[in-house]
Amino acid sequence: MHNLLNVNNLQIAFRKRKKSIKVVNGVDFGISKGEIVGIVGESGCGKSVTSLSIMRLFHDTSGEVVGGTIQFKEKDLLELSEREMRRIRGKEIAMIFQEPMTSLNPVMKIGKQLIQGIMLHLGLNREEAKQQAVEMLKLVGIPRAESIMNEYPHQLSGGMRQRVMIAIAMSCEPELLIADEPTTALDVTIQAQILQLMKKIQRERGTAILLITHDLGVVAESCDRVVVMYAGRVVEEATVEELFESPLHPYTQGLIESVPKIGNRKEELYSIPGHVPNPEAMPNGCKFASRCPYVMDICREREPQLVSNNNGRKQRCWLHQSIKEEERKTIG
Amino acid sequence: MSETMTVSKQQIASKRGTLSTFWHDFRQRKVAFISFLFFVLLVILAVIGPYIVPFNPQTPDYNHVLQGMSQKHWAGTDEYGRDVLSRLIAGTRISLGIGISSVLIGAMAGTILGLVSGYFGKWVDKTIMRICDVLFAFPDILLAIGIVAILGPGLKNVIFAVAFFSVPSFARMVRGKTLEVKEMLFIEAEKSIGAKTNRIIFRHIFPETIPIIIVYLTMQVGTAILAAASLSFLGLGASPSSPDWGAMLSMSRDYIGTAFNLVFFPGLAIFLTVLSLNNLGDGLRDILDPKIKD
Amino acid sequence: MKKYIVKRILGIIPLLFVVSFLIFLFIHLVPGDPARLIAGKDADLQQINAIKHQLHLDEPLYKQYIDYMNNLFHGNLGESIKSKVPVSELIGERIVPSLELSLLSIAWAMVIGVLIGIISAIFKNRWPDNIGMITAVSGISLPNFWLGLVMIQIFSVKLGLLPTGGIETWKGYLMPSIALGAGIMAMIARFTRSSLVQTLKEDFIRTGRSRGYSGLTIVFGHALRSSLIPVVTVAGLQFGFLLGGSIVVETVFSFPGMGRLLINSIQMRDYPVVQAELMLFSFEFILVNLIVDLLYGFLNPKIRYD
Repeated sequence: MHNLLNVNNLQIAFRKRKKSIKVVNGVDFGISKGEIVGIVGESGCGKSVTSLSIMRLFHDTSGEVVGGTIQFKEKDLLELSEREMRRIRGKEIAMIFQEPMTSLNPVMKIGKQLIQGIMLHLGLNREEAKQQAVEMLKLVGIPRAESIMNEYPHQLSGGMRQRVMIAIAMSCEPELLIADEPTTALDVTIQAQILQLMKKIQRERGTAILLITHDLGVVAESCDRVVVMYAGRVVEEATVEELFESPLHPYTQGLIESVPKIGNRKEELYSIPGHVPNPEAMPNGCKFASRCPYVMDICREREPQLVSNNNGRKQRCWLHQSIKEEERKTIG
Repeated sequence: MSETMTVSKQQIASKRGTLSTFWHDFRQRKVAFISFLFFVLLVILAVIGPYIVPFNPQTPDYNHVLQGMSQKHWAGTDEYGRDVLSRLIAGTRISLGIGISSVLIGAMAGTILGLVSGYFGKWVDKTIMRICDVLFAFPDILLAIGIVAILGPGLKNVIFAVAFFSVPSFARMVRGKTLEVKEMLFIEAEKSIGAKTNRIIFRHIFPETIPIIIVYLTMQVGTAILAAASLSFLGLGASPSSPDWGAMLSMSRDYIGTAFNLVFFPGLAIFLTVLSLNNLGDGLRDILDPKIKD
Repeated sequence: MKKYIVKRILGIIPLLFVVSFLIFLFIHLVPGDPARLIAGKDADLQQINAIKHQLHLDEPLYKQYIDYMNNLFHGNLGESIKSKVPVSELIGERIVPSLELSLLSIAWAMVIGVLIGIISAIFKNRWPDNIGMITAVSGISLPNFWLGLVMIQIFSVKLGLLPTGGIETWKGYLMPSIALGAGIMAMIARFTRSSLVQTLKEDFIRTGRSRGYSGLTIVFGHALRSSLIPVVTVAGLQFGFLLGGSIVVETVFSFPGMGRLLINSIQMRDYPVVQAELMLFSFEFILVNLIVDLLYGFLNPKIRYD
């Protein structure tokens, strides 16, 4: 059990023409206070949907949590009323998104966007909220913070806007910050700066961060622990060191192999052959079987469980567990 | 290059193949589909109306003037004792005739101008678009009234006036689509093979513009029917004695205190016709141009 | 922003010239001899020549144009042939009621239209949306003169609540402005809905929700402003519709405005009045479009600050 957030057996389905299609099926992971946890996986593996479900931001889409619990401190977020949830969003859990270009309101000044949330959650008056806002802009390393308050988003660069997004997210000092692909839309140099900034915030403020990304490079640079997702399931979980040193799941191995290495200017990058299975027609056994270089007969028939060893490392692969072990687990 | 070309052609081929999906989608949209059926009914009435009317729409019957609704005269009679229902049915041909013919003329002229403008660009485009800008500086109805004021009242002039004010909007829309299509690679490819300009425009660009033209045509016919009815109502269109819906409303003003049916039914006919066209247009737009849906 | 304003204002000057030139040509486009047409069938040559002289049709075209433009700059719009009164005087009496009617109509149409649009967008694809959009498409399809006539039958003839015409009291404005505004209200409702639905899909709305704002704060505090920017443009375009509509509606209600004057003048072949009216209507339309353009620039920070 982790002491901040525990996601248990999360199941999310989308409705498509009266059919319900599960895109996340039994996801478990947790975050402790002040920890940076990464969720990695290809697009469509369900990682973004998972992060949105923690904030319950499925509004207006046909997505729906159909099972499991999301324990945040003492509360199950899925049990809260919309009104109670609003008090958590932005105050206890904040979120930043992939597109800094479009995630800020284009017709509202930066200052007002910051102040609004501060006044709502912290109950400060306008003057105090303004001070807090300026302080936040300084925290995220924005020069001339006072004058930025009076500018509109389109007057800032992409990196600046993402800093503003972080300032907005941090403005009510949340305990958990969810960052959904926060650097994907940015230049490489800016990416590094933003990641540095997030680490600094975690160090100085003790904020736990859940970092959603498809980029293992980002994970290596910033996370303590990693959850690897594939086709709506967790396939591996480990500390960053363990994961890069000895990846257990063939999918993780493939992911690591496809990271471009500095100094190694090979013409062709390795990429895992094949495609992610269509969620409308999921195979029975291991979801990775069709792309796995070590596939065995059992992989096509039965899906392995997510099994944990003694020090908390988890994997979902027949190569590392026997049927007996699994049966013992399910019986016992 | 050749690869992109075949892909684009396949896309076009698959578009044609989706005609049955189109019909399926269309039938799913109940409002649009009912409107379509209603419009078909109107077209049938316009064609065979004069042969099925219960009474002669033009022959006066001074023994039965200004009668209310009855079993014999479902919509009552007018100040000359003529059966209102028969006149409405006879008027379908006039209203639809004006609406459809004027918009078709305007659409044709506008489409050609838009294709030419978008395809050739440069000064041709600039000239045509400037002229459109000037025409846009006049409100539609005002332009039509001005033209009728010059040419004199009458149905022919109304058709011309309504056609005239539909030209710039068609031109602008088709030009936009032409620019879009022109950018697509397969036309570049076609050009390098040495196809003639005419061929490129009419075989490749024009077909791509058809969906938006159809959508806009449908909606514009409704607008045209309204505009023509307004002109007739103002005494600038159909002759007051003809069974044109607008003209009937114009005549009804003298009996506004006494004859409810004379005011109500011709207006209802205009309203339902335009409503069906607008609903049909909305439905077609949702299917044919999903970009602007919502 | 200053640059934008100057550019827009300079931009309409050539348009004004072209439009005034076209309207100058108006009387010359009448097939046959306009003087003969004005004088009527029974007129003799002397009368026709008198009219010709009065309209300066006996002078060379270029001189006519110079005089015409000169008069235009001095606000001289000529003289009515039928009543011999200066056109500016005829129009002066009618322009205020017409403007009042237009503004009243567009005001209520905007308020109600935006409201219906907002409700429809919030309850997208549910019953309030369906009712709102049925109302809107009906409003667009409704012939405004018919709406006017039916209202007269109900409220004036049957119930005796409102006058059938005239503007002796404020009640005289009520039905005309409803008839005139209905179509515009419908257009604005449809456009507000689609614009707001689009905005509510934007990323920044998700940001707002992730910060714990309530639905109302998001719609009114965040989405509405961006959504209304394009609505302003559409409302401006509707003003042309309004001018056209006012011609018809003023006729229905015998409203002493510019629209009815135009129709009467056309029927009496009073060409100088028709010419002046067409000019005023067009200029008004161009002016409103300019104002809308400027307003758009003002509402949109991207333009305002660049």
